[in-house]
Amino acid sequence: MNMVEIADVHKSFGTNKILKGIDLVVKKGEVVCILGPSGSGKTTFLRCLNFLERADSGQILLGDSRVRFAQATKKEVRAIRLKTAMVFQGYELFMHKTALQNVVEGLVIPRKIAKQEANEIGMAMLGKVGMSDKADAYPSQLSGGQQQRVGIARAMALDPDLMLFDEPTSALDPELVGEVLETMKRLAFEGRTMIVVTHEMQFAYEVADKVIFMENGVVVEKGTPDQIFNHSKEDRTKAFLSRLSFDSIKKVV
Amino acid sequence: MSFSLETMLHALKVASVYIPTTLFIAFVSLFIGGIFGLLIALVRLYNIKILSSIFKFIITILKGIPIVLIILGTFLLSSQFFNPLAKSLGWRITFKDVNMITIAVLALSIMATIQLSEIFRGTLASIKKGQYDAAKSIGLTTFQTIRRILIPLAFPVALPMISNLLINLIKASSLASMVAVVDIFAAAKISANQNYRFLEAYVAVAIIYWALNFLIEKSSNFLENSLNRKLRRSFQ
Repeated sequence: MNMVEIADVHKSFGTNKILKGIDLVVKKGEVVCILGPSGSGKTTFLRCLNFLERADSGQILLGDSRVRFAQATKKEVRAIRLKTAMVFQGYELFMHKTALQNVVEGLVIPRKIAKQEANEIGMAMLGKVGMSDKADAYPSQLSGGQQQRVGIARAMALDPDLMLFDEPTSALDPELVGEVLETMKRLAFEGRTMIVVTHEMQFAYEVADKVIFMENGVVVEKGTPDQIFNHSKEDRTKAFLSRLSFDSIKKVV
Repeated sequence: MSFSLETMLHALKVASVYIPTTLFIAFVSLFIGGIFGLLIALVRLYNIKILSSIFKFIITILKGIPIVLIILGTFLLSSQFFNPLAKSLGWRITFKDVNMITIAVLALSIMATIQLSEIFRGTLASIKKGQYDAAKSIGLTTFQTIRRILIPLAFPVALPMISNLLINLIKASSLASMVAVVDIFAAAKISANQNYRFLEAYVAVAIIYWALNFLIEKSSNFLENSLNRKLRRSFQ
Protein backbone atom coordinates (compact mmCIF):
# COMPACT_ATOMS: atom_id res chain seq x y z
CA MET A 1 0.00 0.00 0.00
CA ASN A 2 1.35 3.40 -0.89
CA MET A 3 1.38 5.62 2.16
CA VAL A 4 2.78 8.66 0.44
CA GLU A 5 2.85 9.68 -3.20
CA ILE A 6 4.71 12.86 -4.00
CA ALA A 7 4.76 14.09 -7.57
CA ASP A 8 6.67 16.73 -9.47
CA VAL A 9 7.72 19.08 -6.66
CA HIS A 10 9.20 22.35 -7.89
CA LYS A 11 10.55 25.11 -5.69
CA SER A 12 12.51 28.27 -6.42
CA PHE A 13 13.84 30.98 -4.16
CA GLY A 14 13.75 34.02 -6.41
CA THR A 15 15.46 32.96 -9.64
CA ASN A 16 17.32 30.16 -7.90
CA LYS A 17 15.70 26.84 -8.79
CA ILE A 18 16.16 24.52 -5.82
CA LEU A 19 13.84 21.64 -6.72
CA LYS A 20 13.24 20.71 -10.36
CA GLY A 21 10.56 18.07 -10.23
CA ILE A 22 10.95 15.51 -7.45
CA ASP A 23 8.80 12.37 -7.42
CA LEU A 24 8.72 9.94 -4.54
CA VAL A 25 6.52 7.02 -3.54
CA VAL A 26 6.81 5.59 -0.05
CA LYS A 27 5.02 2.44 1.07
CA LYS A 28 3.67 2.03 4.58
CA GLY A 29 6.49 1.13 6.97
CA GLU A 30 9.21 1.98 4.51
CA VAL A 31 12.33 3.97 5.37
CA VAL A 32 13.61 6.21 2.60
CA CYS A 33 17.03 7.82 2.95
CA ILE A 34 17.90 10.86 0.87
CA LEU A 35 21.61 11.39 0.24
CA GLY A 36 23.38 14.13 -1.64
CA PRO A 37 25.86 16.98 -1.39
CA SER A 38 24.89 20.17 0.40
CA GLY A 39 22.85 22.52 -1.71
CA SER A 40 21.21 19.65 -3.56
CA GLY A 41 17.75 20.54 -2.22
CA LYS A 42 17.26 17.61 0.18
CA THR A 43 16.31 19.77 3.15
CA THR A 44 14.11 22.06 1.06
CA PHE A 45 12.27 19.01 -0.28
CA LEU A 46 11.62 17.77 3.26
CA ARG A 47 10.48 21.21 4.42
CA CYS A 48 8.04 21.40 1.51
CA LEU A 49 6.43 18.15 2.63
CA ASN A 50 5.73 19.69 6.05
CA PHE A 51 4.67 23.01 4.48
CA LEU A 52 7.47 24.82 6.27
CA GLU A 53 8.24 26.02 2.75
CA ARG A 54 5.55 26.39 0.14
CA ALA A 55 6.46 24.47 -3.01
CA ASP A 56 5.67 26.24 -6.28
CA SER A 57 4.01 23.21 -7.86
CA GLY A 58 3.50 19.49 -7.43
CA GLN A 59 1.25 17.46 -5.20
CA ILE A 60 1.25 15.08 -2.28
CA LEU A 61 -1.06 12.21 -1.44
CA LEU A 62 -0.82 11.27 2.21
CA GLY A 63 -3.31 8.73 3.53
CA ASP A 64 -6.62 10.10 2.31
CA SER A 65 -5.50 13.70 1.76
CA ARG A 66 -4.49 14.73 -1.72
CA VAL A 67 -3.12 18.26 -1.75
CA ARG A 68 -1.64 20.44 -4.49
CA PHE A 69 1.19 22.44 -2.94
CA ALA A 70 0.56 25.70 -4.76
CA GLN A 71 -3.21 25.81 -4.19
CA ALA A 72 -3.36 24.27 -0.70
CA THR A 73 -5.80 26.01 1.61
CA LYS A 74 -5.09 26.67 5.27
CA LYS A 75 -7.21 23.66 6.16
CA GLU A 76 -5.33 21.35 3.79
CA VAL A 77 -1.97 22.59 5.08
CA ARG A 78 -3.10 21.81 8.61
CA ALA A 79 -4.37 18.37 7.60
CA ILE A 80 -0.96 17.48 6.15
CA ARG A 81 0.88 18.95 9.14
CA LEU A 82 -1.20 16.92 11.56
CA LYS A 83 -0.29 13.72 9.67
CA THR A 84 3.43 14.42 9.51
CA ALA A 85 6.07 15.15 12.11
CA MET A 86 9.51 16.59 11.69
CA VAL A 87 12.79 16.07 13.51
CA PHE A 88 15.12 19.01 12.97
CA GLN A 89 18.84 19.28 12.49
CA GLY A 90 19.04 21.82 15.33
CA TYR A 91 16.56 19.89 17.58
CA GLU A 92 14.42 23.05 17.99
CA LEU A 93 12.94 22.05 21.33
CA PHE A 94 10.87 24.80 22.93
CA MET A 95 13.38 26.34 25.31
CA HIS A 96 10.86 27.41 27.96
CA LYS A 97 9.30 23.96 28.29
CA THR A 98 10.54 20.79 29.98
CA ALA A 99 11.22 17.64 27.97
CA LEU A 100 7.77 16.27 28.83
CA GLN A 101 6.02 19.58 28.09
CA ASN A 102 7.78 19.65 24.73
CA VAL A 103 6.49 16.19 23.88
CA VAL A 104 2.87 16.80 24.94
CA GLU A 105 2.51 20.31 23.45
CA GLY A 106 1.51 18.96 20.04
CA LEU A 107 -1.02 16.61 21.64
CA VAL A 108 -2.75 18.96 24.07
CA ILE A 109 -3.10 22.07 21.93
CA PRO A 110 -3.52 21.17 18.23
CA ARG A 111 -4.98 17.69 18.75
CA LYS A 112 -7.04 18.48 21.85
CA ILE A 113 -6.06 15.36 23.79
CA ALA A 114 -6.81 15.54 27.51
CA LYS A 115 -3.83 16.58 29.56
CA GLN A 116 -3.59 13.41 31.63
CA GLU A 117 -3.77 11.10 28.63
CA ALA A 118 -1.26 13.28 26.81
CA ASN A 119 1.12 13.06 29.76
CA GLU A 120 0.86 9.27 29.71
CA ILE A 121 1.64 9.19 25.99
CA GLY A 122 4.45 11.68 26.57
CA MET A 123 6.05 9.58 29.31
CA ALA A 124 5.73 6.45 27.15
CA MET A 125 7.47 8.22 24.25
CA LEU A 126 10.24 9.55 26.49
CA GLY A 127 10.64 5.96 27.72
CA LYS A 128 11.07 4.74 24.16
CA VAL A 129 13.94 7.13 23.55
CA GLY A 130 15.43 6.42 26.98
CA MET A 131 14.73 9.84 28.44
CA SER A 132 12.15 9.07 31.16
CA ASP A 133 14.44 10.25 33.94
CA LYS A 134 14.91 13.62 32.23
CA ALA A 135 11.19 14.36 31.79
CA ASP A 136 11.37 17.49 33.96
CA ALA A 137 14.66 18.81 32.58
CA TYR A 138 14.75 21.92 30.43
CA PRO A 139 16.49 21.69 27.03
CA SER A 140 19.36 23.86 28.31
CA GLN A 141 20.13 21.14 30.85
CA LEU A 142 20.39 18.37 28.23
CA SER A 143 23.20 17.35 25.89
CA GLY A 144 22.71 17.61 22.14
CA GLY A 145 22.06 13.88 21.81
CA GLN A 146 19.53 13.97 24.63
CA GLN A 147 17.79 16.99 23.11
CA GLN A 148 17.55 15.24 19.77
CA ARG A 149 16.07 12.14 21.42
CA VAL A 150 13.43 14.37 23.02
CA GLY A 151 12.90 15.88 19.55
CA ILE A 152 12.26 12.37 18.21
CA ALA A 153 9.89 11.63 21.10
CA ARG A 154 8.02 14.85 20.33
CA ALA A 155 7.59 13.79 16.71
CA MET A 156 6.62 10.21 17.63
CA ALA A 157 4.02 11.33 20.17
CA LEU A 158 1.98 12.83 17.34
CA ASP A 159 1.64 9.32 15.90
CA PRO A 160 2.28 10.65 12.40
CA ASP A 161 1.64 8.72 9.18
CA LEU A 162 4.97 10.04 7.96
CA MET A 163 8.05 11.04 9.95
CA LEU A 164 10.53 13.45 8.42
CA PHE A 165 14.13 13.62 9.64
CA ASP A 166 16.23 16.57 8.51
CA GLU A 167 19.88 15.60 9.08
CA PRO A 168 19.09 14.64 12.66
CA THR A 169 22.69 13.88 13.60
CA SER A 170 24.57 16.59 11.71
CA ALA A 171 24.75 19.03 14.62
CA LEU A 172 25.87 16.41 17.13
CA ASP A 173 29.28 15.60 18.56
CA PRO A 174 30.55 12.39 16.93
CA GLU A 175 30.22 10.44 20.15
CA LEU A 176 26.55 11.43 20.55
CA VAL A 177 25.55 10.37 17.03
CA GLY A 178 25.25 6.70 18.00
CA GLU A 179 22.49 7.11 20.59
CA VAL A 180 20.31 9.04 18.13
CA LEU A 181 20.86 6.59 15.26
CA GLU A 182 20.04 3.70 17.61
CA THR A 183 16.75 5.39 18.49
CA MET A 184 15.92 5.91 14.83
CA LYS A 185 16.79 2.32 14.00
CA ARG A 186 14.35 1.09 16.63
CA LEU A 187 11.63 3.29 15.09
CA ALA A 188 12.35 1.86 11.67
CA PHE A 189 12.03 -1.71 12.93
CA GLU A 190 8.77 -0.75 14.63
CA GLY A 191 7.38 -0.11 11.15
CA ARG A 192 7.27 3.69 11.11
CA THR A 193 7.16 5.31 7.69
CA MET A 194 10.15 7.61 7.52
CA ILE A 195 11.95 9.92 5.12
CA VAL A 196 15.45 10.63 6.38
CA VAL A 197 17.84 13.20 4.96
CA THR A 198 21.22 12.10 6.23
CA HIS A 199 24.95 11.94 5.75
CA GLU A 200 25.17 8.76 7.82
CA MET A 201 25.97 6.25 5.07
CA GLN A 202 26.13 3.26 7.34
CA PHE A 203 22.68 4.05 8.73
CA ALA A 204 21.29 4.37 5.21
CA TYR A 205 22.92 1.12 4.17
CA GLU A 206 21.62 -0.85 7.13
CA VAL A 207 18.19 0.62 7.70
CA ALA A 208 16.83 2.10 4.48
CA ASP A 209 14.45 0.22 2.21
CA LYS A 210 15.08 2.75 -0.51
CA VAL A 211 17.94 5.19 -1.06
CA ILE A 212 17.68 8.32 -3.16
CA PHE A 213 20.66 10.29 -4.39
CA MET A 214 19.83 13.93 -5.12
CA GLU A 215 21.90 16.64 -6.72
CA ASN A 216 21.04 20.11 -8.06
CA GLY A 217 17.37 19.68 -7.38
CA VAL A 218 16.84 16.43 -9.25
CA VAL A 219 16.88 12.77 -8.26
CA VAL A 220 20.03 11.36 -9.87
CA GLU A 221 19.47 7.76 -8.86
CA LYS A 222 17.20 5.71 -6.67
CA GLY A 223 17.19 2.09 -5.62
CA THR A 224 17.78 -0.32 -2.79
CA PRO A 225 20.82 0.36 -0.58
CA ASP A 226 22.60 -2.52 -2.32
CA GLN A 227 21.93 -1.06 -5.78
CA ILE A 228 23.06 2.44 -4.79
CA PHE A 229 26.06 1.58 -2.64
CA ASN A 230 27.41 -1.49 -4.47
CA HIS A 231 26.10 -1.36 -8.04
CA SER A 232 25.58 2.33 -8.70
CA LYS A 233 24.92 3.10 -12.39
CA GLU A 234 25.50 6.84 -12.27
CA ASP A 235 29.04 8.23 -12.23
CA ARG A 236 27.93 11.13 -10.07
CA THR A 237 26.64 8.80 -7.35
CA LYS A 238 29.84 6.76 -7.46
CA ALA A 239 31.95 9.90 -7.14
CA PHE A 240 29.91 11.16 -4.17
CA LEU A 241 30.06 7.83 -2.36
CA SER A 242 33.75 7.26 -3.04
CA ARG A 243 34.58 10.61 -1.57
CA LEU A 244 32.88 9.51 1.63
CA SER A 245 35.13 6.42 1.57
CA PHE A 246 32.15 4.14 1.86
CA ASP A 247 34.41 1.10 1.32
CA SER A 248 35.67 1.36 4.87
CA ILE A 249 32.07 1.35 6.13
CA LYS A 250 31.08 -1.71 4.10
CA LYS A 251 33.78 -3.75 5.77
CA VAL A 252 32.28 -2.97 9.17
CA VAL A 253 28.85 -3.99 7.99
CA MET B 1 20.81 79.26 51.46
CA SER B 2 19.70 77.31 54.46
CA PHE B 3 18.24 73.83 54.40
CA SER B 4 15.49 73.00 56.85
CA LEU B 5 15.21 69.30 57.51
CA GLU B 6 11.86 69.83 59.16
CA THR B 7 10.41 71.53 56.06
CA MET B 8 11.82 68.77 53.89
CA LEU B 9 10.15 66.11 56.06
CA HIS B 10 6.90 68.04 55.89
CA ALA B 11 7.11 68.19 52.08
CA LEU B 12 7.94 64.49 52.06
CA LYS B 13 4.78 63.77 54.05
CA VAL B 14 2.58 65.94 51.86
CA ALA B 15 3.98 64.57 48.62
CA SER B 16 3.93 60.90 49.58
CA VAL B 17 0.14 61.05 49.86
CA TYR B 18 0.17 61.28 46.06
CA ILE B 19 2.38 58.23 45.47
CA PRO B 20 -0.71 56.21 44.46
CA THR B 21 -1.57 58.81 41.78
CA THR B 22 1.89 58.60 40.28
CA LEU B 23 1.93 54.81 40.41
CA PHE B 24 -1.57 54.66 38.93
CA ILE B 25 -0.57 56.83 35.96
CA ALA B 26 2.63 54.84 35.34
CA PHE B 27 1.21 51.33 35.71
CA VAL B 28 -1.98 51.92 33.74
CA SER B 29 0.05 53.49 30.93
CA LEU B 30 2.44 50.54 30.99
CA PHE B 31 -0.48 48.11 30.82
CA ILE B 32 -2.19 49.90 27.93
CA GLY B 33 1.14 50.33 26.18
CA GLY B 34 1.84 46.63 26.68
CA ILE B 35 -1.32 45.57 24.88
CA PHE B 36 -1.00 47.95 21.94
CA GLY B 37 2.79 47.67 21.79
CA LEU B 38 2.55 43.88 21.52
CA LEU B 39 -0.11 44.11 18.82
CA ILE B 40 1.97 46.54 16.78
CA ALA B 41 5.11 44.41 17.23
CA LEU B 42 3.22 41.30 16.04
CA VAL B 43 1.74 43.12 13.04
CA ARG B 44 5.23 44.19 12.07
CA LEU B 45 6.75 40.75 12.82
CA TYR B 46 4.26 38.98 10.56
CA ASN B 47 4.55 41.86 8.09
CA ILE B 48 0.82 42.33 7.66
CA LYS B 49 0.24 44.41 4.54
CA ILE B 50 -0.60 48.14 4.79
CA LEU B 51 -1.10 48.00 8.58
CA SER B 52 2.57 47.22 9.06
CA SER B 53 3.74 50.25 7.06
CA ILE B 54 1.17 52.52 8.71
CA PHE B 55 2.45 51.59 12.18
CA LYS B 56 6.04 51.95 11.07
CA PHE B 57 5.28 55.47 9.83
CA ILE B 58 3.40 56.54 12.97
CA ILE B 59 6.09 55.18 15.27
CA THR B 60 8.89 56.87 13.36
CA ILE B 61 7.08 60.19 13.80
CA LEU B 62 6.06 59.82 17.45
CA LYS B 63 9.43 58.40 18.55
CA GLY B 64 11.09 61.72 17.77
CA ILE B 65 8.70 63.89 19.80
CA PRO B 66 9.58 64.79 23.43
CA ILE B 67 7.12 63.46 25.99
CA VAL B 68 6.39 67.03 27.17
CA LEU B 69 5.00 67.84 23.74
CA ILE B 70 2.97 64.64 23.67
CA ILE B 71 1.36 65.53 27.01
CA LEU B 72 0.62 69.12 25.95
CA GLY B 73 -0.53 67.98 22.52
CA THR B 74 -2.87 65.40 24.03
CA PHE B 75 -4.28 68.08 26.32
CA LEU B 76 -4.73 70.65 23.55
CA LEU B 77 -6.27 68.22 21.08
CA SER B 78 -8.67 66.71 23.60
CA SER B 79 -9.71 70.13 24.92
CA GLN B 80 -10.57 71.12 21.34
CA PHE B 81 -12.25 68.00 20.13
CA PHE B 82 -13.74 66.40 23.22
CA ASN B 83 -16.88 68.53 23.46
CA PRO B 84 -18.02 68.13 19.83
CA LEU B 85 -17.23 64.41 20.00
CA ALA B 86 -19.11 63.90 23.27
CA LYS B 87 -22.06 65.79 21.85
CA SER B 88 -22.20 63.74 18.67
CA LEU B 89 -22.05 60.53 20.72
CA GLY B 90 -24.79 61.79 22.98
CA TRP B 91 -22.67 61.80 26.16
CA ARG B 92 -23.80 64.16 28.88
CA ILE B 93 -20.28 65.21 29.90
CA THR B 94 -18.04 68.05 28.75
CA PHE B 95 -14.28 68.43 28.82
CA LYS B 96 -14.49 70.11 32.23
CA ASP B 97 -15.78 66.84 33.72
CA VAL B 98 -12.85 64.83 32.45
CA ASN B 99 -10.34 63.94 35.13
CA MET B 100 -6.96 65.29 34.07
CA ILE B 101 -5.39 62.03 35.17
CA THR B 102 -7.06 60.49 32.11
CA ILE B 103 -5.21 62.94 29.88
CA ALA B 104 -1.91 62.08 31.59
CA VAL B 105 -2.58 58.36 31.22
CA LEU B 106 -3.48 58.84 27.56
CA ALA B 107 -0.27 60.74 26.83
CA LEU B 108 1.97 58.33 28.72
CA SER B 109 0.20 55.37 27.07
CA ILE B 110 1.27 56.74 23.70
CA MET B 111 4.85 56.90 24.95
CA ALA B 112 4.62 53.38 26.43
CA THR B 113 3.06 51.94 23.25
CA ILE B 114 5.83 53.29 21.07
CA GLN B 115 8.60 52.09 23.36
CA LEU B 116 7.04 48.68 24.05
CA SER B 117 6.35 48.01 20.38
CA GLU B 118 10.04 48.54 19.71
CA ILE B 119 11.06 46.43 22.72
CA PHE B 120 8.80 43.55 21.68
CA ARG B 121 9.84 43.83 18.06
CA GLY B 122 13.47 43.40 19.05
CA THR B 123 12.90 40.50 21.42
CA LEU B 124 10.55 38.69 19.02
CA ALA B 125 13.15 39.05 16.29
CA SER B 126 15.75 37.45 18.56
CA ILE B 127 13.78 34.20 18.77
CA LYS B 128 15.37 31.59 16.54
CA LYS B 129 13.51 30.74 13.32
CA GLY B 130 13.64 27.07 14.30
CA GLN B 131 11.21 27.69 17.15
CA TYR B 132 8.61 28.86 14.61
CA ASP B 133 9.32 25.82 12.42
CA ALA B 134 8.91 23.47 15.37
CA ALA B 135 5.65 25.15 16.37
CA LYS B 136 4.28 24.88 12.84
CA SER B 137 5.40 21.29 12.41
CA ILE B 138 3.59 20.05 15.52
CA GLY B 139 0.46 21.74 14.20
CA LEU B 140 0.13 24.93 16.24
CA THR B 141 -1.80 27.73 14.51
CA THR B 142 -0.27 31.19 14.25
CA PHE B 143 -2.30 32.43 17.21
CA GLN B 144 -1.36 29.38 19.31
CA THR B 145 2.29 29.89 18.37
CA ILE B 146 2.16 33.50 19.54
CA ARG B 147 0.45 32.65 22.80
CA ARG B 148 2.23 29.41 23.71
CA ILE B 149 5.72 29.91 22.26
CA LEU B 150 6.58 33.47 21.22
CA ILE B 151 5.29 35.47 24.19
CA PRO B 152 6.69 33.14 26.88
CA LEU B 153 10.07 33.20 25.11
CA ALA B 154 10.11 36.94 24.47
CA PHE B 155 8.87 38.16 27.85
CA PRO B 156 11.90 37.25 30.03
CA VAL B 157 14.21 38.86 27.47
CA ALA B 158 12.08 42.00 27.37
CA LEU B 159 11.72 42.24 31.16
CA PRO B 160 14.80 44.40 31.93
CA MET B 161 13.75 46.83 29.19
CA ILE B 162 10.16 46.85 30.45
CA SER B 163 11.26 47.72 33.98
CA ASN B 164 13.46 50.47 32.55
CA LEU B 165 10.45 51.82 30.74
CA LEU B 166 8.38 51.70 33.93
CA ILE B 167 11.03 53.80 35.67
CA ASN B 168 10.97 56.26 32.78
CA LEU B 169 7.16 56.41 32.95
CA ILE B 170 7.24 57.17 36.67
CA LYS B 171 9.69 59.96 36.07
CA ALA B 172 7.75 61.25 33.05
CA SER B 173 4.54 61.24 35.08
CA SER B 174 5.96 64.24 36.98
CA LEU B 175 5.27 66.21 33.81
CA ALA B 176 1.56 65.52 34.31
CA SER B 177 1.52 68.46 36.71
CA MET B 178 1.60 70.60 33.55
CA VAL B 179 -1.98 69.56 32.81
CA ALA B 180 -3.06 70.24 36.39
CA VAL B 181 -2.78 66.69 37.72
CA VAL B 182 -1.77 66.63 41.36
CA ASP B 183 0.91 63.97 41.64
CA ILE B 184 3.99 63.69 43.86
CA PHE B 185 5.79 66.50 42.10
CA ALA B 186 2.82 68.86 41.96
CA ALA B 187 1.96 68.27 45.61
CA ALA B 188 5.50 69.12 46.70
CA LYS B 189 5.46 72.28 44.59
CA ILE B 190 2.15 73.33 46.10
CA SER B 191 3.47 72.83 49.61
CA ALA B 192 6.62 74.80 48.73
CA ASN B 193 4.53 77.66 47.39
CA GLN B 194 3.24 78.28 50.90
CA ASN B 195 6.69 79.02 52.36
CA TYR B 196 8.96 79.39 49.32
CA ARG B 197 11.09 76.47 50.49
CA PHE B 198 11.62 74.97 47.02
CA LEU B 199 14.94 73.23 47.65
CA GLU B 200 13.48 71.15 50.48
CA ALA B 201 10.47 70.24 48.33
CA TYR B 202 12.65 69.17 45.41
CA VAL B 203 14.87 67.06 47.65
CA ALA B 204 11.76 65.40 49.09
CA VAL B 205 10.46 64.66 45.60
CA ALA B 206 13.82 63.26 44.52
CA ILE B 207 13.89 60.94 47.53
CA ILE B 208 10.42 59.60 46.77
CA TYR B 209 11.14 58.99 43.07
CA TRP B 210 14.45 57.41 43.91
CA ALA B 211 12.87 55.07 46.48
CA LEU B 212 10.08 54.04 44.10
CA ASN B 213 12.47 53.32 41.27
CA PHE B 214 14.85 51.47 43.54
CA LEU B 215 12.02 49.14 44.57
CA ILE B 216 10.96 48.60 40.97
CA GLU B 217 14.48 47.78 39.86
CA LYS B 218 15.01 45.34 42.73
CA SER B 219 11.75 43.48 42.13
CA SER B 220 12.40 43.34 38.41
CA ASN B 221 15.86 41.87 39.04
CA PHE B 222 14.29 39.25 41.26
CA LEU B 223 11.67 38.33 38.66
CA GLU B 224 14.29 38.30 35.92
CA ASN B 225 16.53 35.88 37.79
CA SER B 226 13.75 33.43 38.51
CA LEU B 227 12.54 33.51 34.88
CA ASN B 228 15.99 33.26 33.36
CA ARG B 229 17.11 30.27 35.32
CA LYS B 230 15.35 27.91 32.93
CA LEU B 231 15.91 30.00 29.82
CA ARG B 232 19.60 30.46 30.33
CA ARG B 233 20.72 29.11 27.00
CA SER B 234 17.67 29.62 24.88
CA PHE B 235 19.04 32.38 22.67
CA GLN B 236 22.37 30.93 21.60
